[in-house]
Amino acid sequence: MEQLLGYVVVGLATGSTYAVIGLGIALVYQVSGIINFAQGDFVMLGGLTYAVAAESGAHPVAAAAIALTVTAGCGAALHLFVLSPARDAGHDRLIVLTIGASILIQGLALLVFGADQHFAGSFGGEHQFQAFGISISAQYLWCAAVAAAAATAVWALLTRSQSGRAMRALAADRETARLMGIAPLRTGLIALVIAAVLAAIGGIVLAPIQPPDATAGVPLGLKGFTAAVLGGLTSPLGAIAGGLLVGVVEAVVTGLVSSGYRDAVVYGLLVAVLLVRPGGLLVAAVRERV
Amino acid sequence: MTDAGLLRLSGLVAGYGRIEALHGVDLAVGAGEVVCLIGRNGAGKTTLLKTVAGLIRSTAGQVRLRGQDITGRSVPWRTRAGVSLVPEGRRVFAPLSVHDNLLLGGYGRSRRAITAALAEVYARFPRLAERRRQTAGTLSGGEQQMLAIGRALMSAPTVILLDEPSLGLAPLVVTEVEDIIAGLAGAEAGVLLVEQNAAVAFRVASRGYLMERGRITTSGPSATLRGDARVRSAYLGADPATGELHR
Repeated sequence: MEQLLGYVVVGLATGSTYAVIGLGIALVYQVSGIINFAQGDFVMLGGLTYAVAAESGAHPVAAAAIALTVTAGCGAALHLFVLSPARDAGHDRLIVLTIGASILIQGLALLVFGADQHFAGSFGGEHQFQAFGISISAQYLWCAAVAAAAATAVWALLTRSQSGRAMRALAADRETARLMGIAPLRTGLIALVIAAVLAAIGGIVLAPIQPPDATAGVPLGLKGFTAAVLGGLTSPLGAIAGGLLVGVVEAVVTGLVSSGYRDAVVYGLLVAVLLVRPGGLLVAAVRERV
Repeated sequence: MTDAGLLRLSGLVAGYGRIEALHGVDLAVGAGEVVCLIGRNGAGKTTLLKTVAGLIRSTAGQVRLRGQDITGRSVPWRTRAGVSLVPEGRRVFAPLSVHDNLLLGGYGRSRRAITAALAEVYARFPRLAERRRQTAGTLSGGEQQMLAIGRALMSAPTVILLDEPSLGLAPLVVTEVEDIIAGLAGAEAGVLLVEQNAAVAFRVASRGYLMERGRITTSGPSATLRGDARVRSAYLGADPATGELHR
């Protein structure tokens, strides 16, 4: 029982990174109506760039800055060169384009970084602490703290800035938002860059725990997607709750059963939620047309 | 007729895809006046307002604002130039607070301009000030209409386009909204009012246009229009003798 609590703590910490990844997916979906399947590859790109830069001797802060810049640039490029030119294609085709972008980013990462895993040290050195009878790396605390800070920053942006209000307005009523003089494309670009930054943050804090390689993106993206869908895709808070749930389920299954079942259980959860409560996706689709 | 140099439409043609809804519309609104545009459902009134606001691209003809051709301009450009549409059904941002709705009305303006406009709107509509933290979706219909108008005023518009502001409101509230509309036209601002309720339209507007199937078929002072046979037939709806039906 005590161990279970330990797994929950680990799960909440990992889950907080899935939460920010999922928050990015929900944000882009709300603003542009697109599910960005390249989000996981942004996570990979951020984590891998960070690990490679750290391995080659860069200060962790500098390595993080490089990783954030590269990933944000990649997010901007996805919007400017892929999604914007194809904006009249309809949301389903744009979603397919993000899958294409995902494959492309993965291929480019293979070319640039090779197929090997890369290792980054824990923030502030290796520390372990004992809680509920298991030993937990201090990096998990970093995960939770950084993710909480990132989520708070997004919340402040959405509620306190005109750009954030514009995003919420687009989510609520696209045509009327345009009437206010809000440019959907420009705001969509901002949302995608924020999503890419959130993904990179997730990738960076996860890098010391799960050493990234070029193929690490897809499973992480699917976890973020699961998080966003569990939350109904329409609410940032829902995505955060969904991410924490995915993390806890994953950690408890790994701890009590086997890590082999981990992904199966997480995606089983996704399928179960879609079957039992398809409300998430469907409600959003209807709302959007109003 | 007043000097109608504020907004002038000439030969305006627009529609949705291949379906043409406006077949060459001429219309003018001057500063200081409320002009109504009346007609049946489907006559093209909403299309006209959306075309002036820039939401629908015109395929021929011109929209002039204070003499300047704005036909090809984007929605944000027109908003900044002073064109503001209060859409049918009010379309407030329901999940956002009253305050956030108003701030969005000033989107793209400087912080100082927004603060000043906000003070004006709250002074004009004290009820919105009382409810500034409430989400817009929880307001009554009349309050939502106030908010939609207040939100439009946040961009300091000179051309205010109102689409069916009385729709779905209780009679007492309609009177309140009439007073608000009458107060919108000022030294520099004019109002173009689309209204199903002819009584409301003729009480508020000094003159008006009748639109039928995408064309202006008659225009003149409200008093004259009120007695016009075509206006009567348009508003009394289906005339069994002619077999004409509402769309």
